[in-house]
Amino acid sequence: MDPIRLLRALVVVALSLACAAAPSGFGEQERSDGGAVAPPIVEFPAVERPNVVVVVIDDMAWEDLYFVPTPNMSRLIQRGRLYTNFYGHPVCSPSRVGLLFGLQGSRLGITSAIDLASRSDIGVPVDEVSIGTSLHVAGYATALFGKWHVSSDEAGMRELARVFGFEAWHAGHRSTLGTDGRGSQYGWPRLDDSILTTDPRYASESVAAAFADWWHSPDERPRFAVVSLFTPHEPFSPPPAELLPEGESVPTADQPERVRFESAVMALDTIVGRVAETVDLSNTLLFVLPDNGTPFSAKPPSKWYKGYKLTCWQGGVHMPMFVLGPGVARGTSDHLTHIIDLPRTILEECGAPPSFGYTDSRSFRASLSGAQEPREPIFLQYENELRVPVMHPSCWAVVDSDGYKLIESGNTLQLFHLPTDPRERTPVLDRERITALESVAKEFLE
Amino acid sequence: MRRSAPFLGLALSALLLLFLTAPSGAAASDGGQEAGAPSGPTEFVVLVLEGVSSADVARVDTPNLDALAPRSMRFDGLQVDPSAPPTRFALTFGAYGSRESIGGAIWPNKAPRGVPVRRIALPQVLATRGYRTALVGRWGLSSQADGFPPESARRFGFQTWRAGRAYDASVVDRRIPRGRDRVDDGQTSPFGEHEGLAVTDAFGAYWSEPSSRPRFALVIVPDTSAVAPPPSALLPADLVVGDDDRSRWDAQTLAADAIVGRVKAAIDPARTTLFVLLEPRATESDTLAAIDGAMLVAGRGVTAGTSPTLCHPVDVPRTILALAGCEVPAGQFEDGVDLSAALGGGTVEHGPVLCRAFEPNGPGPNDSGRSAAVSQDGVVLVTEGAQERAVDLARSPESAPAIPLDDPRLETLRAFPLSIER
Repeated sequence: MDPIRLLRALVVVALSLACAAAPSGFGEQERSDGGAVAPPIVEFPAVERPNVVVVVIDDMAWEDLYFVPTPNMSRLIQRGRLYTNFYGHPVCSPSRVGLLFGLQGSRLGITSAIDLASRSDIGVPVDEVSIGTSLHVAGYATALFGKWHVSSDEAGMRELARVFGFEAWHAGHRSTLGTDGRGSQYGWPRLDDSILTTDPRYASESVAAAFADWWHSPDERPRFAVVSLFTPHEPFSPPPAELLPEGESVPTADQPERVRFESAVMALDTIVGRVAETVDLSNTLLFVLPDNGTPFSAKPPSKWYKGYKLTCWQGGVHMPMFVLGPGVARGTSDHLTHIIDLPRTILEECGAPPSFGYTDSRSFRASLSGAQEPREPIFLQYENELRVPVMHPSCWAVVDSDGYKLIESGNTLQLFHLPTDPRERTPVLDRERITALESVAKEFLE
Repeated sequence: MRRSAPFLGLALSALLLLFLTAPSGAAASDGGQEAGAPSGPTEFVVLVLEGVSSADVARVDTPNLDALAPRSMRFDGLQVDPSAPPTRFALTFGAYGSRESIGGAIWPNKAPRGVPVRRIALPQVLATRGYRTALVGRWGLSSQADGFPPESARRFGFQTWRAGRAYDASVVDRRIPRGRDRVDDGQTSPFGEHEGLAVTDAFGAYWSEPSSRPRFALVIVPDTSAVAPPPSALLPADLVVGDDDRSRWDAQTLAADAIVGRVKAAIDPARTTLFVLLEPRATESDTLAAIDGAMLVAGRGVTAGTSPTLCHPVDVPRTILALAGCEVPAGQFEDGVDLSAALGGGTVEHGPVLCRAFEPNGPGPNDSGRSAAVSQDGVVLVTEGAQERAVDLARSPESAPAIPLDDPRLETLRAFPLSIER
């Protein structure tokens, strides 16, 4: 890390520790919740049946943003609504099951990354209804771009997203692009509505380009798109120079994982900026969110947290989400949200509240315009299926709207109060709350 | 209106007699909603017998259809497209094939596109209401430009697709290995057995799987009379099928009846509404005969009887959506009429229907086809290539007297096909 960035990092860390609160912003954020001082600022008035775009970042959390320049996302956050209490499962597949189906992965036996090589038949059954199907039936043009990763290996892998109701699946791949050193973000097997080609371009750049092509194709219907990027997830291939901010150099392949990961975050920031520029925010709701936290192989040098991806500690499950578009109030929201809540929120925004499915999804629609209501506790889970080192034991956690988090990891059960202890250092003893949160977990564990 | 073989009246009388004399307990096993019937959503099975007409049925012994008829609402006014694929399109999307330039079999290397993915299919709507959905049998509505052929039907919300075929014939598509035309949920394999029997077995297996959700299944029994005779398992013992067309057609009718029996035995009529559609051979040279279908609807929510209403397979999706309590998506299923009132013995007003087949598919010139626009009062305008003729079936169904082409009643029928072009 160069001296300037190191200095900036130290300043940011010092500021955040001084605040003694969960990382909750990117500089000056206007806090519109709970304050009776001023009405929320809404850049664009709400519209009926808006377009909706969900950008899924693959593996990133708060701590990463503190150390990597992300000017595009920072600008977007200033114009939109930042969720400071947003959570996902600590691994891709169950989070994506939540995002697409509004279901806890545990209901379907999906509590870890689906490993296609294992040829297990674990995957979302085809009779589950996805948000793609629901919005197609509601008259939306629907498409998914990029990574899928909620199905097992099967003959139909070429049409996975389309079998689940997305009319188009472009620049698609059923899973990740491999592990670091054994895969690449270039020369990847790409699917466009079942046609398989090898794409020489940086994968996430292709995903954004495919999205833009589709977005500009003629169709009078409102649109719904999931733009599911392959970065900054491993393999940490050095991104193309043109995606990096001026003055940033392209890392070499032999530099440490963290260096290449941070470079990927910078490239990702440029790509998110391109997606945002593609749409008209006066009629398009744009959600930007990661699926899980920082990859364990590219931990930040600051190491704020006890654990990262594949753990239920905050570094693996607590992530920034921001939303822009019609009816969205600027500022931050402390509303407790889970990635599983996206489908019901979006379906309500699109005038298509579901009459079936989405069992675990809770709408946070009201919070988009500034309201805040308590949400029932959320459940997070990862099960180690013995394919990864034992340093990541199975874990689960329950977080409630008061900021308490009950976590079971390595056969140890602990309660933390996140507003005063965001790094989970000092367990608190509150037997009543432990019992209450444990009963929430039992519902999903059984 | 009706113009079928003269013995149909006799057959109907016999069926009526059967109905009147049937033991009252039989209704519980064959149809009708009994007191104490299972509550919960209605399940739906739509069984399409391609290449079997009412006239075919009247020629041979069909005990299973005979037993079903007195417990069914019978629609002799069903008019079908003189080609199977547009009829299947109508059954799935509630719109005429002309809306999407689908007039016949889709050949993978010729058709530019099949059904566009923006179309909303009946199973997709039902899935959002908690139904499990299946197609058992042929699809034939997508070209190779549309996607991976072994997933064609699942792209339109049929969550399960068994004993399927992507195309109506063995065709060259590099994604379907030679000789492996059978599709089961994205996997291909050789058919290895008669397609109608494979469909029947696959439906039986699917329907017997435990399901906590209600189900919808579209079951397509294809016309294979030109390919191979039905297997002995579907024919009366000791029947030897002759080598002429008529013998093969009769054998196919007998097999279709056996299939009706098996499907009927697999479902619970107190929980399920069963639609059986008879669809004449598309090779029938007389257009009036080729469109002359019939539909029996039995099971839950159905009053036995005969409905005089004109109808088309395009009406089936809207009827099922109504019975399932689903809203019709805006702008979709645009050509269908909800027949659910007729199932309860009521009357349904129905505008003209269009039966149409043409080749090749796709936009552009396709005047090689034939069509019939039919009105509720029995006037039919037939167009075969550039030739027009009109008949009045209401006056005499059997002789179908011609109507002068300047008859004012034909004006509406002439304009009708144009009004539903894409």
